Amino acid sequence: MRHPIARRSSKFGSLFLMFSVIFAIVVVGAALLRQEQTVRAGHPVPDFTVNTFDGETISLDDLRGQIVVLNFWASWCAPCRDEAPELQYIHETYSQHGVIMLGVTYAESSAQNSINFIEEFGLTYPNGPDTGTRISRRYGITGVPETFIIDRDGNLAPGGYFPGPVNALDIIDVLDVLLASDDA
Amino acid sequence: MLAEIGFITMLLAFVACLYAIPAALYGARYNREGWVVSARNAAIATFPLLIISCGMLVIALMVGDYQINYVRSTTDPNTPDFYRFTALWGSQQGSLLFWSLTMSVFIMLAMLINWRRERRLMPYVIVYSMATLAFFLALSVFLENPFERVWFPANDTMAIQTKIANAVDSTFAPPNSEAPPQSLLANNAQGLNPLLRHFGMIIHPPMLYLGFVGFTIPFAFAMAALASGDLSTNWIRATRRWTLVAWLFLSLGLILGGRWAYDVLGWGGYWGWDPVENAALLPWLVGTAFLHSVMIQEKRGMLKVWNMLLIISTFSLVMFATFATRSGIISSVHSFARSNIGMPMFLFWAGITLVSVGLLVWRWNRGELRDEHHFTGWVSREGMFVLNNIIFIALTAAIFWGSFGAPISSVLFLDEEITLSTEYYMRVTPPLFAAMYLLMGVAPLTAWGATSLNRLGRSMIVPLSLTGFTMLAIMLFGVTAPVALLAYSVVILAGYVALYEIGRGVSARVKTRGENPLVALLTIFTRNRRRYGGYIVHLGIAVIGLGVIGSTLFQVERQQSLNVGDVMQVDADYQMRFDNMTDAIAEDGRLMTIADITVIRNGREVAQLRPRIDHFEQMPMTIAGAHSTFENDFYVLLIPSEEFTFTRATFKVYVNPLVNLVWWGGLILILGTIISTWPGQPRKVTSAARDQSAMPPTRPATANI
Repeated sequence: MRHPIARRSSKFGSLFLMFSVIFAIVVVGAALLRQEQTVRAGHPVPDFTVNTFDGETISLDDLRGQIVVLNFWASWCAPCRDEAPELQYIHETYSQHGVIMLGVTYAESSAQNSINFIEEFGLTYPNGPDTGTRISRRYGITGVPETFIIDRDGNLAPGGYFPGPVNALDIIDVLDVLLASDDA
Repeated sequence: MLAEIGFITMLLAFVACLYAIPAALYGARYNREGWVVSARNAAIATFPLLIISCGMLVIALMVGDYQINYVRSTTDPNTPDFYRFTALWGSQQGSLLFWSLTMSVFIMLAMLINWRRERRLMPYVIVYSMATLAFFLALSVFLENPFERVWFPANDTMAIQTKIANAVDSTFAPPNSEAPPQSLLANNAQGLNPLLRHFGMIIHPPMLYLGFVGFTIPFAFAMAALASGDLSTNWIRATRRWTLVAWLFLSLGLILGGRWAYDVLGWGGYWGWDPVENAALLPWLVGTAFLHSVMIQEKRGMLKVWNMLLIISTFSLVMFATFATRSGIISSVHSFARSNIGMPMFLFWAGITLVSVGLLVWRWNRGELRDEHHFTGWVSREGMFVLNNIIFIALTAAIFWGSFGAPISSVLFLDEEITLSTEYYMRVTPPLFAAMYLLMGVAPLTAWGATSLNRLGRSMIVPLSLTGFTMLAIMLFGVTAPVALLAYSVVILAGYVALYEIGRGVSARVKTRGENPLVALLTIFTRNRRRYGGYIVHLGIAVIGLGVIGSTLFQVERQQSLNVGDVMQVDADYQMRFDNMTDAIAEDGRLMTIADITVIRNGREVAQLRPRIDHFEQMPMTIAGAHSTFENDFYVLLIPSEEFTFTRATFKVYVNPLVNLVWWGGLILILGTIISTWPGQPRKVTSAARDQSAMPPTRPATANI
């Protein structure tokens, strides 16, 4: 027969043990689920505010009514270098049609690196840092570059998610559909 | 043909796992020997099947079968043969298959070595190890198939662009399809990530995998003990050596990873507290705690629940580390890969942890894991081991919190990712490491049962005096910072105690048997490999400690732009002259910018170094030049900067004192572990022997452990 105190301590210990294990699993599972929730086409994208390197504050909500091409990038990312001139081309060609090009930098070690990159490629559209990776997490990005095209109602455009490098033609395909539906 | 054979053998290995699990369970439950033997044969068969499967992938990599997507993404026609071979673990799909292969090796060896002695445990060992292998093979078969090939529609009139747009991925040829032209495939091959082209990186992943995978065996034995109800020390006896083997490979993996970071990553250090590095350190810490505390169970029949918990935690941390680094749940520069195996890995980790902890709790509540002796006091070997465990678990908790706890819970509860920087680790871990070293300096001198403080004090006189003299010498060399002196003293004490214990073993034999000291030394190492190998490991850890303290506290860092011919004063001893700058093209086609510099020490030219920048598809990689001497490393980097011309460049120089001791200590540690693990030592730990050994309340400090 075991001593009653020993029995109680094993009961308490095992309850505590099971509780800790389940708690850890729930926390990690919730974090994983949250991370796997990516933005879906036809559904509203998360709102955010970004302070650009030019000192402007841009909130996605304020851009409602315009088409937004949102690009996540980093100065250390090689495919982002290939992409930058293409995005600048979209900005130059489509801004007159009410398309806003917006860049958000991810995991930069210093703002100066991003500014050097912007100057190197002569980017004239607004770009700002994702401090604390708040925006990129809400959008569930798993790498850079990633690009999202958001329609005038603040929904992700059909075919408007590019989980990797993108070229101007891909973006134009989506933009033309959106602009055509405006005309119709 | 390669892809088909590779895939089918991989699938057969998976089927063998699925068969072995119920067969072993049925055989154990209803005492049907035939079924258990059949399950064992299926378990052993996974090894030849996976060897063929991996062999096919290796052949495909070597001959450049670029139709296989994996071959195309890890090699290109310029890749040298050596890197073609190692591309087997260069990316996700291949490394998962390789992981399964290493696991099947361990399982096969466990079946062959432990089959006779541990008959009662073996069916459940098969169940647990096969379940783990089945999971990893399922990932390869269903989600991350390394044999997937690209196919074009077979239609002669179709333009090549249309074919590319309509290409499909499949292992087997789909109907109406053809293989794309070889030249097109070869042109699209990507080659191995340039950062991975380093000797350390080539053998670091396999070592780490062997370490990770190796813990499956002790875990499976522990679970078998819980499942079968054979809760004697059988499972510990069966797994001690397996645990040491896993620990050895994990240590090697960590050391080689550090060496790779030091040589290739170009920041002058070897440990960056990155979540991925920490993920590999966590099972090492808990595994180390287990290796120590399991001795208490062998000698005194205590801490049974705790030991089970430690081995479950070690395995659970291995699975968690794999999951965390491959799912993208943690942002780390290492783990930046899109992967769809996050959820399955999470479910497996959660499932196996819940089942094993559940099984432990069940046996615990039935009173089957009762301790056979009571704790007699802190000043005893078991007391010291308990303290050791507390320190290792505290280290694990602190590092886990910094790498995973804080980032994950802050995202969940605060909607903001809090990543703790190196500063956090540098504040939290040094006191714990110091306590660990202090314990290493005291614990080997205590006896099982209890030691009087008096006796402990007497046995510490020699090592303490030696430490005192050494500290005086260090102070004469000009080290006066109190933190450094304190750190050095605990580490040096730990080292001296290890040497002193070996010395005592030798002198006892010399006195009692009149042996020649060299013969006595050899004899004690042959007679008690485990114990004296352990002291060599302690010595290695102490030497690593000296290296870490020196290179962390006394590192000199200078950055300066120089014209050709300029001389830079680095510290009191070292100067560096910039001689020349050239461009060159490497074997694999990358452009290299190389600087020639001369290292001058106290006015004498001591070395010519060639730090360089490799331009690989616009990704610059800085490769350091290093001049190593016993007391320090002169480590120089060529920094990419705007004013970079062929006559002017920026250099970053580190002088890292004692950094070589980190690698030498690593070698000593490996040697000690091999001595401890080497078979042939008579095993005498039975329950009766344990009781006998525990009878006298104070045993002399030299008692066998």
